Amino acid sequence: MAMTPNKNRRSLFDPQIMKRAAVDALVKLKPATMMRNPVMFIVEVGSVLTTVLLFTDKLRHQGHFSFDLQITLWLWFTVLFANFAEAMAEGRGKAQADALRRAKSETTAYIVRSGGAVEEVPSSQLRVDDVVRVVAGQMIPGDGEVIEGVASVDESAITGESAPVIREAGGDRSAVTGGTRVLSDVITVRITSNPGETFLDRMIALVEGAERQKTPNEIALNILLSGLTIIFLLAVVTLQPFAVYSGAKQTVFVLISLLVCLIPTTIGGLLSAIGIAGMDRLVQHNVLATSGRAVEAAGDVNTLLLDKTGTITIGNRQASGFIPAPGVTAAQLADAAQLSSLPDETPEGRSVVVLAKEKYGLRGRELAQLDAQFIPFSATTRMSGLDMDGRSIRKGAVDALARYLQEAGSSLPSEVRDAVETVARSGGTPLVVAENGRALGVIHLKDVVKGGMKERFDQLRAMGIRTVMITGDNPLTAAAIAREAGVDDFLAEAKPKDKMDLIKREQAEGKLVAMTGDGTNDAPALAQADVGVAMNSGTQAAKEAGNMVDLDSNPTKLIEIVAIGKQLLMTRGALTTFSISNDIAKYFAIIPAMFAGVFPVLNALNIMHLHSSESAILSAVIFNALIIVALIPLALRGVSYKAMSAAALLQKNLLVYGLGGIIVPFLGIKLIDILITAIHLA
Amino acid sequence: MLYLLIFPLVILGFSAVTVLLPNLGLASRANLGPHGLSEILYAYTSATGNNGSAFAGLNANTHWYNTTLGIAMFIGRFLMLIPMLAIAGNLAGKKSIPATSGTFPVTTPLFTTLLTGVIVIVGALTFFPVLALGPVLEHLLMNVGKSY
Repeated sequence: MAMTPNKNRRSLFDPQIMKRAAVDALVKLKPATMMRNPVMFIVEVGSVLTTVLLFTDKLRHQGHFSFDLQITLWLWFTVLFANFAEAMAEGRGKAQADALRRAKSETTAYIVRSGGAVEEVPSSQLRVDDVVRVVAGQMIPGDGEVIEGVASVDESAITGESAPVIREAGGDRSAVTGGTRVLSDVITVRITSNPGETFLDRMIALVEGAERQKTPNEIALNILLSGLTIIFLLAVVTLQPFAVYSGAKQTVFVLISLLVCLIPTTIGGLLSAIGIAGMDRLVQHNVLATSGRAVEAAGDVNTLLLDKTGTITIGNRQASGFIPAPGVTAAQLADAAQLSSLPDETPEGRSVVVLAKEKYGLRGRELAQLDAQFIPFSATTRMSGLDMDGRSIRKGAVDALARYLQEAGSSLPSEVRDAVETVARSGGTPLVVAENGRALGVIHLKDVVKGGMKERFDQLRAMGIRTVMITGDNPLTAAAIAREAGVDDFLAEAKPKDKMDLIKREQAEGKLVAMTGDGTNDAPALAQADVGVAMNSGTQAAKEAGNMVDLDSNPTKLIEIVAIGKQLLMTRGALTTFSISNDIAKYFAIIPAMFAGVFPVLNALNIMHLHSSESAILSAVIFNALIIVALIPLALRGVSYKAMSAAALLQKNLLVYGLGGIIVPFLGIKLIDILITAIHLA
Repeated sequence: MLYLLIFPLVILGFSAVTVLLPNLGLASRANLGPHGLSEILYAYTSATGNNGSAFAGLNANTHWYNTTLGIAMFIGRFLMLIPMLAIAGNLAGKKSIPATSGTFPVTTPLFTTLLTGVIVIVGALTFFPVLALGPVLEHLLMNVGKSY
């Protein structure tokens, strides 16, 4: 899956972030902070212990000061490197938060009082339900909903996207965000959040990691790592009696070195960095997740619900023809279709007006002059239209119109049914137009599938993810488009409740479901889904219900989100495997070194032919500390991910990180041994 | 996790205490050096694993060994059951998830290798240090013509 680098991308080793991370690494040494990470806490306790011993030994002129000092220092480095990794990951988020804070500067708001008077107040005094007017050039003072007017808005402060977007009253493009700038026209905005609770505030808290909590998956891994740590603690603690028995008593320095090398410090040190980096990668794709849990769930998703319109097909369906019923002329049909579409601001509605003008020369009429009453589209009737001087025109989906005609005591003529079927079978959307209880004919709306979607669905299938297309179309149309786009399944004539039921059904089967949505009627389903991605252009309700917000409002991005989630889980798995398989080499370095002094024959186990006992132990400890630093880029960037089946992926990663984890430390420890011997450190 | 912990705790714990007790523990050995260590280690491993065999040479019929081996046997048999039953209960309570190509198949050589690998590596990592001082050391010493 191609992950296009985003313009927000920061260089991995930004010097400023590195500097701040180095300081943070020291601050994080506080035991209260370290306690959250049991593995590294043990290392810290070990470091404190060796430090104390170092001084008491020095006073009593015992021990081998140079060696003991080096061990102590490297133990501290191990802790610091792990903290540094975490601070690096957090630092990237903080840098992002700083950029956002600049957008949050205090602005002046122009409150419109009920009498129409305009009053100037600072934006920090705005409360929910205040109405403000924003003119071109001004900053929108807070999150809200456009209740009047249309304007182009520069949202680059939030999305990084420099092209302005249109925000208008009514519909699903009415939400505006505080800190964005109006470029043209005037809009009246009803404020929907109090200061401190705005989208920008929440976003800052999120990217800073202030609200970060451990995810269930992280907790489980932490338990596993703690368990392994206890096992190794047992192995090392009981080793001393055996060593005493064998007449080869070990120093505390050597034992702690062995312990620190054995416990999974590599993954323990990088675990939280991996989690934070996963969130950060989402932010780079302009997606905000409300919790790390959502990112992980994305990696385990089995079913993707994709809205047809805007996701699978190019959002706007275009009217391409009028098919009149018997006894009706095309011009009559076009006239009724145009009238019913005049107040309809959707692209489909506009395209009907355009087609009527192009084909039949019907000019656009001003609604206000017609004295007509507009019947808006509703999810339950699934029709729209208008009533004017004795004419009652309705247009909508076939079954909705059939019901409407039935209630009016008439029915759809078979010719109209045939026309509907023909349009539907070609993958188009038929809209039936009726006037005063009589069917006039069919409008043919054409749907265009986006390029490259078929390949993406093939990739998803390879990953074991089922795609379900959700559409309000009738089953025939849905099937034609589903076939063309290559989705696995479709849900036709879907009402919001059907979507909800589908999600619940899939979840009852034990599957994790992801979906995108932007409308208020999507909110319940967004809340129910395991991963609910709301579009930033959508309504406030949708944004609050979902657990992610896509700032670019690109529904196709769900596919990237899944890839990032999978990558996060895999990175964690890969580094855990690597960390544990590292132990084999460390044993071969340390065990012979510990006992070869008393039993020279044990040097047979010294298969790396390390220079001396001390150089062997020191090399292992140094390798153990340095590997954390070496793996920071991998932890932050994530392991490479290609769409393939779980088994194939595992096989590849086991080969790289499992086998690699066995071999790399043998080479690394030997190399360090050669180096420190050369400069006479041991 | 608890399950994995009990085994090394019992075997390494008891063996370690035993080698520190010259009268109660070490006096029973028939041999000195690494071989003696192997005898003690084997006794506790075998008892905890409910195998019941003993390494010839170790006189286990003393108060100390009878008591501690008995406890090891008890823990090895019954305390191991509890976490196992808990796992079974947990699995039984889980929803079954239909297999897709995103599911990891458990009937392939890959899975067998992985499972075996995990068992061997976790086991080896736990007991490697003491084995190095016992049987491994003994073998190496024997090769140079030294035995106990």
